[in-house]
Amino acid sequence: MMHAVDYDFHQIAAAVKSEFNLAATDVANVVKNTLGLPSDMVNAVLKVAGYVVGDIEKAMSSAFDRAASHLNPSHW
Amino acid sequence: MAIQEKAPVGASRNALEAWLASAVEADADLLSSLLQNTHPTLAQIVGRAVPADIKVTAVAETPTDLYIVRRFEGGTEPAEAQGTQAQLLRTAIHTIAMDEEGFWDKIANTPKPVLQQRLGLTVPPEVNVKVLTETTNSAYLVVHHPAHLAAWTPPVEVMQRVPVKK
Repeated sequence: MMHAVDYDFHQIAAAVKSEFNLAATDVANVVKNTLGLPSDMVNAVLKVAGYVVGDIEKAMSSAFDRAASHLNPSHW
Repeated sequence: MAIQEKAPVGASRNALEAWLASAVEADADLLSSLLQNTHPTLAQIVGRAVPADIKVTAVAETPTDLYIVRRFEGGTEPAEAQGTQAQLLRTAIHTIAMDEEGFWDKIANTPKPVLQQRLGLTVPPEVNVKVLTETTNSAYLVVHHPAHLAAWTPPVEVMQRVPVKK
């Protein structure tokens, strides 16, 4: 069941990339903010969607900016 | 409750957890206060109020409970040079999970065999491993029981993959 759900996420990300030509950062933010997926799952979605490593790293750093994270006490 | 001196004001959650692990040893009331009145106690410790849209849950390890937290942003969190064993273990798990989809599910479903096989951590039969998963608006603060990982040495092949904070 979980695998089926994951598979849908990947298909959505791949479709978004191919149909709308969105940057990896945009997809990462949508997947994170709309679907509420944690960093490792957003990373997996971007990989399956076919983004290159450099774009994925930039997208992850942007979407999960720890320096600005409200989960980090240093930002409270 | 008497807050210990040198509380990590403005520091990271890792620094806060490291400080708490020793602070609760010196202040018997601190742990109960943290567990029962988490947000007010945290505000005293870090000097800032927890944002209203976040729920921080404090949990304390015991000699028979070991917690591993799947941090929402853990995949992008590097290991800190002065980090604790607990931080290193969590970072190592996150690092593997970034390359292996479904790894967190494996850890959650069969923690002891996975910890043994992939991270070289042998967890005694009497110790329960509990995996907690954060969301975008919920965080776990763990008061670690250092003895759980005192004898653990992370595998070299894992350490080579763990990003280190510069």
